[in-house]
Amino acid sequence: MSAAPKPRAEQLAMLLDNRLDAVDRAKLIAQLESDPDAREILADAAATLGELNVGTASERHTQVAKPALRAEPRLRRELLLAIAAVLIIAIALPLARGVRAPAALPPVQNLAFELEGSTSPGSLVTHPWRQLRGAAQPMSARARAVRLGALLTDLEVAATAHDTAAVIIAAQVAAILADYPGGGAVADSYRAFAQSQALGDVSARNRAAHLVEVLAGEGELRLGGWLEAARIAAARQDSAFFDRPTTRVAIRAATSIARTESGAALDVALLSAAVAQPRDWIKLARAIDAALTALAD
Amino acid sequence: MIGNTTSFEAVFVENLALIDRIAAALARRNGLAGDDAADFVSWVKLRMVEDEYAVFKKFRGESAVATYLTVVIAMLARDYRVQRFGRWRPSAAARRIGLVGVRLESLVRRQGYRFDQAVELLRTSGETQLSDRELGALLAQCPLRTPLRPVEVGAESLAGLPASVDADMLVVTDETELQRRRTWDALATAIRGYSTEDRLVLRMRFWDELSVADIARALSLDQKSLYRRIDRLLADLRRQLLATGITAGDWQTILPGTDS
Repeated sequence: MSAAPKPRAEQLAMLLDNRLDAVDRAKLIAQLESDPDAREILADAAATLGELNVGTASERHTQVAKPALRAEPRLRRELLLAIAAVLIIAIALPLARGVRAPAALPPVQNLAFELEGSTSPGSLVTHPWRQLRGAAQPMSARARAVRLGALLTDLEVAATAHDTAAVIIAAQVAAILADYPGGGAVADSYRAFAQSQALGDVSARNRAAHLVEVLAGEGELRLGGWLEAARIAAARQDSAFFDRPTTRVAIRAATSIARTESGAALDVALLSAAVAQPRDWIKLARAIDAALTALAD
Repeated sequence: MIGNTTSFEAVFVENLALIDRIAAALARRNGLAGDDAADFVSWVKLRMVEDEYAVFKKFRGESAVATYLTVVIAMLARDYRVQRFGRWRPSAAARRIGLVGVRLESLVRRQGYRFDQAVELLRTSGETQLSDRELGALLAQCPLRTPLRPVEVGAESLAGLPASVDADMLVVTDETELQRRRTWDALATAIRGYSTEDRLVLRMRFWDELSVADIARALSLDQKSLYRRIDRLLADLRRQLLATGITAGDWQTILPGTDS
């Protein structure tokens, strides 16, 4: 005897919404009586709808007729901002209740090793964030840390590939470090890198990168490092990079860091969706650029 | 069906916040917390975009999107739990207690740890700071569930028991369990005479241990009427079972607090 077919998700949803006619309802009730798995799913769904207070059955039903779901699905800015606001609440509440922080991202030096393929000369010195800022627009601590992380990734990639761009990048790192109180000594290290042959010394680079982490803050710096590595990986169409567990850790870190700004939270949410989808490299690259810009500007 | 891949993607993005909330709530119901819960939420999103948004392609618009997504994510949560923990599922009571309840019940009832070993494990892993007494009270809220089919118990499992367990106690426990099973069997036979919906309501209430509120929500029934209906069914069942030789004490053992 063949097993009875499992109820479809939408049949169970229709039962919860009281949308089944008498015949279909009776059939489904009979199926449920002999199917503990389906009962469990129905019970979980019912309890979850109750917990989240997602309206009564009749209220939920009225949503079906709302044209937004049927109309041309254009991403409206207002709607997305509202979603971002809900996202922030959803993320901030558990954090406020003391949920464990996500696992840490690896140091930027390690991220550079995870990249496969080669990078075209010069592509490492152009970034999506604003290059010039007015005097009235000082860079936030987060933006500085994210930029430093991104630049340190570029430096590692360039130095490993003996790309002359490494010299320019080291100078850019030094310029940002000079703005930090007490950052002069570390900035000098990077100026020295830019003027000498010491860039090939991995230990020296690692020591200097560690000091930058201490100065700028590990979390935001490493996130910047990952975003830049992701930008390079997307340009190289390097699927393996995004399949690593580090990607999930990075998305969680980005979500956490962006939670207080609706614009940045939205860009990170879109990045999270783009990373989870089958690879569309152009879309993924745009999403990474947008998230990096939002966090580094 | 809503439209093409681009529109499925738009619906996914529009409902991202809702998906996060539903997935987080289902993670809690399944005893996942912290990084495990975050991993589950990411896994859910990944599954929802697989096969070019197959989940959204299957949606015909016959229910509310929120309800549909909740059912889909509940299905995914079940798959996830089976993948990670096997087919054993935490009791409704353990889920109501929360993560510690689910973990404690799993260690003692599924993995066969003694209570003191389970408590030690939970403490050393930093999962609880509750006292033995408090944890004991939590475990007591999780019912000893009768397996759906009789379980073969060979000499190996007896050999695995700690020597300190009193042999007479084992005999008494065994007899009690046997009587419990007889009473459940009699109950299962008696409910065959009811309508399909009444049987389903009773199964959800007493086999699946759901609250009346959750049953009412699941079956779109009025909660107050459902209370009265369950009381009526229970009174009738009790009368039938007592007539077959089941004692009031046996009835109390399987359905405590339902003596009317």
